[in-house]
Amino acid sequence: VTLHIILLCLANVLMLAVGVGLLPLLRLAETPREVLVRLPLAYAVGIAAVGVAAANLALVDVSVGRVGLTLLAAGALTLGLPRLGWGRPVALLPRPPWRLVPAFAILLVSSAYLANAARLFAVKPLVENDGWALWGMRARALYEFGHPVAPVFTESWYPGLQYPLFLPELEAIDFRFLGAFDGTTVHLQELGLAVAFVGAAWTLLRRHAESALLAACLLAIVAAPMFFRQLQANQADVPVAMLLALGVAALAAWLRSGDRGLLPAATLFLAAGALTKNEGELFVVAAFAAAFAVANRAQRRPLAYALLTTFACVAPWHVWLLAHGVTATNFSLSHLLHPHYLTSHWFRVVSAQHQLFAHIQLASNTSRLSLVAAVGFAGAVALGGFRLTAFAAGWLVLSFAGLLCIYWAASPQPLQPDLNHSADRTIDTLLVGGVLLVPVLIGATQRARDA
Amino acid sequence: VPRRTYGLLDLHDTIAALGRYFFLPAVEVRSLDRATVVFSFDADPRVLGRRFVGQLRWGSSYLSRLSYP
Repeated sequence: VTLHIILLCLANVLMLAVGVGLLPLLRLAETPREVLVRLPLAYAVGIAAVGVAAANLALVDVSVGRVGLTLLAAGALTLGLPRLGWGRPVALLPRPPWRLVPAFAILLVSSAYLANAARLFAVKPLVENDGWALWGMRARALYEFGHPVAPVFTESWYPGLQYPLFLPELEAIDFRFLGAFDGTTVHLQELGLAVAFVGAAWTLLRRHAESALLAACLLAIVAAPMFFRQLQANQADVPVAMLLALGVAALAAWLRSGDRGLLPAATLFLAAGALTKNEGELFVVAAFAAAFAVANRAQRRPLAYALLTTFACVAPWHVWLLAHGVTATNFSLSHLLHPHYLTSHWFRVVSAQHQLFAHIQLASNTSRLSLVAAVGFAGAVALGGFRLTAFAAGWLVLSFAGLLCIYWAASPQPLQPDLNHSADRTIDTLLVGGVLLVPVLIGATQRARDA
Repeated sequence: VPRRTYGLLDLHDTIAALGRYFFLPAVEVRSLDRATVVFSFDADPRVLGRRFVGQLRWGSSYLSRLSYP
C-alpha cells in the first residue's frame, strides 16, 4: 500500500461522506440506521454527485480538489444529517435473515472478484490506447490546468473533444489529492466505481427484487470477461454502463412501485451516465422515452421534472462546446436528415447491426449476458409483467437503434475500422443494463402476485 | 515526425499521440510561430529554417527550443 493509494482512498471516503449527506436529501434514507445499511449506495451516490458537480464546475474554472471535496462533503452532511429522524424507533427487518443467506453467498463471490481485481489495478500501468491517449490525457490536462483548456479540449488534433468530463474530472480529483499525476493508482478509482455499482445495486434494488436473483445477476455482470478487461483499460464504456444500469433499473423500480427516492436516484445516475460519454446521452433519452411510454398519468409530471434535471446537468457541457466552437469531428447527426444520404449509406446500418449483434452474442467477451437478459425478459412476460418489460425492451430497442444511427451518420469515416475499434464496447450498457433489469422485472411480477 | 507505417500504425500519429500525453502540461500547436519548443523524432529540425536558442539530442531525436514562454 503506497501513500498514493491511501490518499486516493481518502478522496473516496470524502465522496462517501457526500453520499451520506445526500441520502436523506434524495429521500433514500430517513433514519441513521437506514444510512448505515445503505452505505454502499451512499458511496455510489457520492461518486455520481461529485463527478457531476466537478464536471460542471470545471467549465467555470473551478477545480475540485482537497479543499473543494472537503467543502462538498461538509455541505452535504450539514444539509442532510439534520433531516434524519434521529429519535425514530428502529424498524424490524422485513424478512427473516436466513432467506438472505444464498444472496450473501453469491455477493461474497462477487466481492472475491472485486478484491482479486484490486491486486492488479493497484500496480497496472496505463498502457491501453484510449486509456492514456484519450481518457488519461484529458484527466491529466484537467489536473495540470484545473479546467478544460485550449487546445487540449478544443482543437481537432486532440481526441475525444465531444466527450463530457465526468470520468476525467473524477480522476483529476484523485490526482489533486495525490498531488501528482499517477497513471497506475488511477485504476483503483475505476475499481471504486465497480464496488459502488455492486453495492448500490444491491442496497437500492433489494426491496424490489428477489435477493438471490439480484445477487446472481450482479455476479453474472462482474464475472463477464469484458467487465474487468475493459475496466482496467481506463476506458469509459464500463463506467457508463454501470451508471446507466443503476439509473435504468431504479427507474424501472420506480415505475412499478413509485417509492420515494427511486426517481431521484435514477435521475442522478442517469445524469452521471450522460456526462460520462456521448452514447450515455443517447441511452438516457431512450430510457426517458420508454418510461414516458409506459408511465401512468400521475407519473408523467415527476418524470418530466427528472428529465429536466438530467438535461440541466448535461446542458452546460454542450453550451461550453458551442461557446468554444467545438464540433463533432467523426460524425454528423445532420446526415440523418438527408434522405439521399440515408439511402446511399444503408449498407452501414446492415454492417453495424451484424457486428453489434455478433459482439452481443460473443461468449468469450460477454459470457452470454444477452442470454441472461433474454431469458429474464421472457420470464417476466410469462409471469405477467408486461408493462415493465415493455419499458425495458423499449429502452433496449431505442438504444440499439440509436447506436445504429450513430454508425449510420459517421460517414465519411470508414465503417469497418470504426466498428472493429468500438463495437465490443458500445454494447456494454445494453448488456449490463439489460441484465440488471431482470431481477427488477421478475421482482415486480412476484410482488404483483403477492398483492 | 516523418509519415510512414509503424507496424500497423502511422509513425507520425503514434509519436504525436504519445507526445500529447507525456509532455503535458506542454500542449501541441500546429503553427510553428506559436511554438516555444519543437520535438523532432527521426527528423532533422534544421529543415524548419529557424534559429534555436537551445537544443538537446538523443540519437535521431531532437528537442529544440525556439523561445521562452
